[in-house]
Amino acid sequence: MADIRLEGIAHSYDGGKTYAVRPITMTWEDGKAYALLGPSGCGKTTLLNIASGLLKPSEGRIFIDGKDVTDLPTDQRNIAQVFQFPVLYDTMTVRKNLEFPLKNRKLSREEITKRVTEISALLGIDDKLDIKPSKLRSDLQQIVSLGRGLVRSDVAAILFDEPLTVIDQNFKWTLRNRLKRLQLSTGATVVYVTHDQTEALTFADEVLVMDQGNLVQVGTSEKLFLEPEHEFVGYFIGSPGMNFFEVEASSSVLSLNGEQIGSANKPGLDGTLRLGVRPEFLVPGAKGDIEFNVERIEDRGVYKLVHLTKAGFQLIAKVDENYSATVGGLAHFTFAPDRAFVFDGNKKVIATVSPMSKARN
Amino acid sequence: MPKLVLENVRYTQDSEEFIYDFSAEFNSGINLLIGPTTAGKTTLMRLIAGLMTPTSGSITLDGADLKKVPVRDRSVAFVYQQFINYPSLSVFQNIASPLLATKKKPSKQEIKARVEEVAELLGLTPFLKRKPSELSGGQQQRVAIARALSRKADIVLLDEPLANLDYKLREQLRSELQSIFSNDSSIVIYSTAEPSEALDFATDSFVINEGALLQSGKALSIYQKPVSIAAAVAMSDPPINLLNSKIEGGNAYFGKTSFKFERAGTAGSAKEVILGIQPGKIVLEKPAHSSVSFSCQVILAELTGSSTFVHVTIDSGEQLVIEIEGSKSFDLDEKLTAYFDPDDLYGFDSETSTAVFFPIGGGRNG
Repeated sequence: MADIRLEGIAHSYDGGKTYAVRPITMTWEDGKAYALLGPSGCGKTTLLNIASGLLKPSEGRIFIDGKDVTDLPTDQRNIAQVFQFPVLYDTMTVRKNLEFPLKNRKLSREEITKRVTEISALLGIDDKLDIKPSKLRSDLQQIVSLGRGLVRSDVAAILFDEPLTVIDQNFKWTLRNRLKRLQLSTGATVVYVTHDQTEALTFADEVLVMDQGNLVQVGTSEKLFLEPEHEFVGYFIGSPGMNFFEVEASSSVLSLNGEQIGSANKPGLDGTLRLGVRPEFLVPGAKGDIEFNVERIEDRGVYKLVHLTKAGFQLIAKVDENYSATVGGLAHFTFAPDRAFVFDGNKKVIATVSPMSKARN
Repeated sequence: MPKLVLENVRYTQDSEEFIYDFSAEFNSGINLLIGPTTAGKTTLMRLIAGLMTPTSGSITLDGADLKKVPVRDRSVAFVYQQFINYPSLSVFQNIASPLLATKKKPSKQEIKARVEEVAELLGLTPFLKRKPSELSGGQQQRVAIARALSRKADIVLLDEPLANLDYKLREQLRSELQSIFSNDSSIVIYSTAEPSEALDFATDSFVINEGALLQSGKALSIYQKPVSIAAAVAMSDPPINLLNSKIEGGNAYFGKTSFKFERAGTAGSAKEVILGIQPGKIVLEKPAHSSVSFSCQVILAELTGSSTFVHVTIDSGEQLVIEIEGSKSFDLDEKLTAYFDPDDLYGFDSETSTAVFFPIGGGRNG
C-alpha cells in the first residue's frame, strides 16, 4: 500500500505540439480511491498509463512510496491492473486464474486458498471456481478479471481502466458495491478511469475531473456538485447540467436584461460576466424576483423540469412535482445564495453570487 | 396525417414466439417503444421495415398493406444503435446517399439543398467534407440520423440511437431530436430501454415486454398508472421498489413494519399484495405529515451528481432504492430510518402482477 506522487507529470504524443495531459502535480494518498473522470480524449487514460508504467511521461516524475519509478516498467512497480475487457488464461479454470498472481509471488498454499476463497466470495463467483472462463458470460469473465486484479494483498495500488464497460446495466451497481467493499477491506490505493459520472462519484473518495488534458477540479462528489470550480464541472457533473448565461456587472452588482439580480462576493467586477446556476438551485420565487418566460414544463414523475427563457438565454429549473405555471406565461425564479457562480475567461470560478430581489429590498 | 397500423402482428421462428399478437397505431411525430433488452423492440422494427415478414397479422400505412410493397420501395429509414456510415464517403455523400437510391432521383441542386438543410439541422455543416472516421462518436451518430432524415421517409425507425453515446451527448441529441421531429410529418418510432428517455420525450409510448404490448399512452400516465409490475418497472428508473406485503383489516404489513392502510379494493379478507413505491418517494428525514417509518441498512450509495441512489436492505431481506437529491455519502452498512407516505403506494396482485391500486394524486411528499 502506498502513496503515488505525480510531480509535473505531462504528456505530449507529438513532441510538444499538443498535450494529451498538461502538467499535474498531486499525491494519490495511501488507501484512498480516486476516479479519473472526463469525456473521451480528455487525457484520463494517458494519465493512467503513465501511472501504470505503460507510458513514459514526456515531462515530470512519478514516485511510488517516495521511490522514483518514472523509468521503471509496469512489472517493477508492484501494481495490479484491470482493463476494460477480460484478460484471462483460457486454458486454466477460474480458480487457477485467480491463484496465478499469488503463485508468482510464492505465497504458501494455505494463504493462496484463503485469499482466493475470500475474493471469489466477495465477487460472488465462488460457485464458478472450477469452470473455464470461456464457459462464462462475458460479464462474469470480467468479474473474474477483476478478481485477478484484486487478489494480491501486497500491491502498492490497483489501477482500473473502465472495468465495468461490459457489465450489464442492472448488475453494475451490485458490482460497484462489491468493488467498494473490496477496496475498503484491502485498504488498497485505487485509481479508476471512467467516463461515467455515476461510477466515478459512487466509487471514489476524490474525483479528478479532466477536460482536454487539463485537470480542472479535484474533489468529493458533494464538492463537485455544490461548489464547482470550473465551467466544465458545472456542465459535466449533474443531469441536466448547469445553466450558463451572461450578465452585466457594475461594481459587482449583476444585471440581467437591465434588472439587478444579484451581487457577487468579490469586489470590483465590471462588464459582461458569465454566470452559472445548476437547475436544482434555480428555485421558484415571488414577484420581484427574476421574471422568465415559461417555454415548456417536463413532468418527470417525481420532479419537473421547467424550461425558461430570458433575454435570449435558455435555462432549466428542476422543481418539485407540485409546481405549476402556465406554459407561454411568466414565472418568477430566484437562485440559492452562493449557488450561482461567476466564471472568468479561462472558465474558472472567480466569485459566487447571492440574489437580490426587488420585493425583499 | 399518416398513420401506421399494426394488427395482431405475430412473429414466430422455430416455434419460438418473438412478437405476440401486437396491435398498435403509430401517428406522425415521435412514438416511443420502451422495454428492456430482448423485449422485442428491434424485431418489431425489422417487421415494420420489411426486413422480416410477420407470421400473421397485418401492417398498413394509411390503409395500404406494407407486405405488398417491396422493401426497396418502402419509404422507411432505419438508424441502429451501432451507427453505420459509409467510411469511404464524405459526410456530404453519406447524407446524400439515400437520395440517390430513390426511384425518381432528384437533381444535383435538389440534393445539395436537402443535404445542406439536414446538415444544418443536425449541426454538421462544418463537417460536410470530412470522412466519418474524422468525427467524434456523437457526430458520427448525427450523420447516421441525417441519412435517415435526408429523404423524408414516411417512417423513420430509430433503434436505441443514443445508447452508445455518453450521457451528456445523449441529453443534447435527445432535445435536438425532439425539435427536429416536432415539425415533421414522418412517423418516427424510437426505441429505448431507458424510462428517463420516455419521460423526457413525453410522447405516445408503447411498453413492450416479451414480445407483447403491455400498455400504451403518454409516458407519464403509464408511470402514474401502470397496468402491471412489468409496465411499472419499464417506466421507472431506478426501477420502482416492490415489497411483499399483506393487507388485512385496514392494516398493511411488510417485513416487521405495519401501518394503517385502506384503499378501495383492499377491504375484506386478508390479501397478499405487492406494494410499489418509487425511489424518489422514500425520504430519510421525518416528514411533517403522517408517514410510515422503517429501518434499513445501506448496501451502497450511488452518486450520480445531482442525485444519490441509496440501496438498502430491510428486515425481511428485501432490497430497496431510495433516491435523494444532491450528492450525499453514506457508509456501507450504515443504519437508517426511512419514511414514506402511504398515499404514494402502488399495489399489485401478488399472483397476477396486475395493478390493484395507484398512488393518490397530489401526494404530499413532493
